[in-house]
Amino acid sequence: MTGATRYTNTAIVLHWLMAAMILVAFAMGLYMVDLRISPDKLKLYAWHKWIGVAVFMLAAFRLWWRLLNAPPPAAPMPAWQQNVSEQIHRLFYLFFFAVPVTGWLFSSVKGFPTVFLGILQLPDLIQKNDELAPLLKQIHLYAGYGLGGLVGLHVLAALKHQFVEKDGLINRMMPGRAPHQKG
Amino acid sequence: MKLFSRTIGALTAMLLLASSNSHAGELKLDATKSSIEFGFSQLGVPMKGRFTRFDARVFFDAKKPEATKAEFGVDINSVDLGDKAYNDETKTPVWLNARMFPRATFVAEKVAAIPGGKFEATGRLSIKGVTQPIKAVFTFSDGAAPVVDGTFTMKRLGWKIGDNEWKDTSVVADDVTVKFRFTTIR
Repeated sequence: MTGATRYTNTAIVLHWLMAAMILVAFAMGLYMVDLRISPDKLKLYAWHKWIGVAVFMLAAFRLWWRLLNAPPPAAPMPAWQQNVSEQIHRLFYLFFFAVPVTGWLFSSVKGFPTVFLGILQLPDLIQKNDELAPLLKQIHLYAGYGLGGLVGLHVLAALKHQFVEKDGLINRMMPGRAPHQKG
Repeated sequence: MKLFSRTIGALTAMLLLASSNSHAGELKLDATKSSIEFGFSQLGVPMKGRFTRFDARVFFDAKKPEATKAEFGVDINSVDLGDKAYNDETKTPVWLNARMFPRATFVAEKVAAIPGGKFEATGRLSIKGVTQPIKAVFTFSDGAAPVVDGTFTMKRLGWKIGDNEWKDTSVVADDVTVKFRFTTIR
């Protein structure tokens, strides 16, 4: 099989950058909700939202990049695994958008506009609505859990390939080492 | 009987005259059509709030603004930021201390006409036991139900609104813009 054995550098940077951002935003989200109102709480909420907006924008770019750049071939594996892997990656993209968007809607419905980096104000797609707020909170929460679950499955699968199958699959997404062969 | 009714008529006329004299230029607040709103920036996010209960005693004549007498009172416990948690927080001692200081007042000291058909009112704004001067600009639309519509900007820290950890104006800005609209009844 000719062609690249690794993802493009752009895809690798996007993968690890978004992974870090999603983990940070996820941990922040779980931690900040139960804090008493304080400057720290307001800052965490602001940063959580800023990360969400950034994840949304990076995901849009990443999707476009992914459609233009076919991923390198995977290690040999049963068809069902190949299939599950593909579906999980589709779900990842769905949740990259769903989690920030539901957070944005939740903020709007609570009556707080989202202002990226404190500078760029996003439009409110829905108006403040106290009855709808708890529902959107739940949807955002479970969308976050969904994305967290996908991350868990993804990490377990990567570890299995690395330490059980020892097929070096992870090298496709590792920065630097293996040369990025041109086909 | 005739004399009696004539006397009554004269008395009524006198009373009406007297009352209209003593209340010359008095504008009574139509609370249902009036509002006091405020806005501030929180980490770049525009926040809005309002007070739902307030009262006013205003004598104003657009032709003689210098003769204005005006006093406003605001029920601090009527603060509404659109969220119960925030409303509760705003009433705590560190912010408005609603229990100790349930009422804010504004007393106009000088009102003058300024260019553009507007008026400028200077006066003393008392919140949380602190009195500071402010300067408000307003318009006056005369008619059967005159409307006073205006705004002023205040520095919240001047009244110790948001003490201790909240003194950080990079989180909650110092500037608070207050917008008021009073529909009145002559």
